[in-house]
Amino acid sequence: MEKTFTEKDSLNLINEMILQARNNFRKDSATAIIVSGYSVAAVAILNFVLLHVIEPSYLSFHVWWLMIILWLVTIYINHSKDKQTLVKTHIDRIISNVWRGFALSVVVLMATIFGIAFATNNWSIALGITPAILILTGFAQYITGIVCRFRPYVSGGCVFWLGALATVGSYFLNMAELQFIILAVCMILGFVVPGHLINKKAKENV
Amino acid sequence: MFKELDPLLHSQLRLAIMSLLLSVEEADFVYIRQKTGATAGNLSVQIEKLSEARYIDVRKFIDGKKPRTVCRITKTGIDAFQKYVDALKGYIG
Repeated sequence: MEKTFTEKDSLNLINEMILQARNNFRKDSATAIIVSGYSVAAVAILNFVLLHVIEPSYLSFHVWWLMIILWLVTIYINHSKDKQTLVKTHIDRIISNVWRGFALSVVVLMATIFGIAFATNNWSIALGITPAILILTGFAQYITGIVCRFRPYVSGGCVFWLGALATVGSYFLNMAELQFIILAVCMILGFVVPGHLINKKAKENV
Repeated sequence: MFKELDPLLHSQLRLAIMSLLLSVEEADFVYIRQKTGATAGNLSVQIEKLSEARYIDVRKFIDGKKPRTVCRITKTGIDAFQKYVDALKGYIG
């Protein structure tokens, strides 16, 4: 076989191998995003409910400490996935760095907003947290969708951006508590639905 | 005048391995075997040859109880591949 391996065969083989390495949506690759989507949506709804139950209502914001557990669960899921994975593509590296950058941006954003609130003793700036997080999430999700050529992720990114605008709209209507419902809806439409679609596609690829 | 084709790359399986590794960040031995359809023995031999020429970097380790071999193309490998493709263009015109 090696003796009849011509120059044209070489080119065909190179093309074939490059094609083989493309479009590999792996089984359960979106598990972390689905878990994050459901968890943030659940915590957002819990916050909305507690706002109307707890006195003083601002204490309800402490439910967001639960996100530390989500963060640890996500690390565990990604670590287990990395151990099982047989191939790491350039796209995987880009996407994982986009989300690492997103996580760092959220930490810096929170530090900035709370820093300003403490320094000026004006807590109305905290109203910017949800829209800002929605904008950052939309950006990261949009880039992920473009890089892995998966349209539902691109649409998911747009859902988060629209959610940010809708949140500001709720402030105009003097219904700031609606931000948590908007956040929950965005998480389901922007994370959970595309996540399930990508897992379904990965199953079909196997 | 035709440039000489790198004999190390002008082999069906070795070229397949290099093309695959060029398209990904790193790949497990099992993945390369699935994609190339080669036998484990033949694949091991060809990977060893590419590794000796420093075209690829091979990392062997134990993951839990499973031995794993992960390969990644090196800068030398990318340069050699580029030269090989340039030479091929001369043949095919």
